[in-house]
Amino acid sequence: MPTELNTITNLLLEQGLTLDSHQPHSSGERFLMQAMTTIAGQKFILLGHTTAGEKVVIKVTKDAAGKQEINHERTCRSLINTLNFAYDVFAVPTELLHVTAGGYLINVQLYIPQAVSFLERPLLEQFDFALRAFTAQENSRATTGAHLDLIKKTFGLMETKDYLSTFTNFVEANRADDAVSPLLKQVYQTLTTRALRVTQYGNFLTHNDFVPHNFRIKDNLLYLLDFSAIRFGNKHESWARFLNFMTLHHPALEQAFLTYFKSNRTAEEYESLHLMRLFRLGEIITYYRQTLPKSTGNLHTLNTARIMFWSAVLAAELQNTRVADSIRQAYQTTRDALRTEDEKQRQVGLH
Amino acid sequence: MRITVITPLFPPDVARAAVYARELTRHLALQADNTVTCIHYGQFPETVLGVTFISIPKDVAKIKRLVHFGHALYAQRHNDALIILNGPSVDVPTILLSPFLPKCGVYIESDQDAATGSRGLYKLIPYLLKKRFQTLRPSDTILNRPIIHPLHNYPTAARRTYDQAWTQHVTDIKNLCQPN
Repeated sequence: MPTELNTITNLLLEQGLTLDSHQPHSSGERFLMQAMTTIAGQKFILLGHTTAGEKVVIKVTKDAAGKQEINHERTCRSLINTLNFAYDVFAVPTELLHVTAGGYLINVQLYIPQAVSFLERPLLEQFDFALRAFTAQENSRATTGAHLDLIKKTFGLMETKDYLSTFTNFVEANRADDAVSPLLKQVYQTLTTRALRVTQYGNFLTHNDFVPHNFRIKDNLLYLLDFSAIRFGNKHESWARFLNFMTLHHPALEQAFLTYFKSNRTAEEYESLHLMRLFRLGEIITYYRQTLPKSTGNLHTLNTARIMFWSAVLAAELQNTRVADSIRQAYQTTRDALRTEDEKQRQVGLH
Repeated sequence: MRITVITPLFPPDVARAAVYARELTRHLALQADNTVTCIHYGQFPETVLGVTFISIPKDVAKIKRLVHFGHALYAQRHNDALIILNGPSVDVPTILLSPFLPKCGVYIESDQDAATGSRGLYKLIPYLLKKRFQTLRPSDTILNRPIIHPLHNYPTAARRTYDQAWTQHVTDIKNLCQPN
């Protein structure tokens, strides 16, 4: 990897870009990360400066799937605010360069500085920013045949049958785990019997990784950083990912959103959210399951603990309850003891 | 009273006019002497107790949807009252079928973007509908349901105003629906 980074450094210099000495996105567990339900290519995400001194984010890859992912993300980024049924959904970072050089695809965007990270903001601000982002997404729904033709090729569309077939892969990947497998089978059964609810709220704009490290807030505007995870699907897919994330990182925010949902949305919507949370929990468990063969030592132990933690969250969600604080705290203690220093450093200010 | 409500939008659609359609059918169905049927575009509407839905799928060619909608509307011609929520996809079949539709009807401009955005010849259709039926424009209070924010105090006054506005709104509609 250092040799490849040297090659990239030279290529970037030719484009008038200098890499920063500290690269938070290339250390720790970043090497393990590949999305499960998007194109999932490999790429470097680097920080640097232009000759004019502007701070930039550079995405570089020579991996074919990585190139596809960057190009796909670029298309989504340019199209999202031009759809005739979607209005100003996300603020978009300015693109400075998109070029192929030495077999690498290089995409450079202006870095969005933020005074404080999302989770460092007061609860009320977090809630209001997130709610605004979710309602903006909800306002975009492909309902007519013409809308669907427009979005299918570019963004992709997850229909109920796709959720169910994807979930069978999750069940299959965890078949050997006697603790997790029955839970996932139960979820599959639940999704199947309540499939109509998933369909009812279909064809909405969603972002399947809408969590704080994928957006930044500047001047009261929420900038989306990762457009590759945009697709059309169940209305509550973004909500579900966000709330599951907050189960671990900020339970008070999760609780605020659940209260909001119960007070302002219909029982049918709440059920759809519940089903999507189950789906996304199956996904995260499978994500960590698939990291096990690629990890050793403490990281392997940590990923096993992650599977156990998210399974406990899943078991609670199946009962429409929240995971116990003691389970969350025990997991956080284990996680903090097992994380490498590099990973701890990478996590600083990430969310 | 047998009432037919026709609307271009209904939740899960998220526009204000969709939420208005749901609230309207709910309030009408709450009155014991009403039987409410709602014809809407889309599939799988959110359930409203006491309302029968006729769904016209949108994922087919425009002309086909309009024909399906017109067919469903024609089948309701013997009902006592018709409530039309504005929008091109509802206005066009309604004006074409207007000679066959109940005399008592209210044309409600709940989608104010559609009401102000019509251009050219299309402007004529809402005009003709307003001539044919009674007309009502919901207030902003009706169209903006107060949000219950989990981190703020319960909006008691705003909710009370909202509920009172709806009670008055339904009474107004009922009065306009009375046969001459």
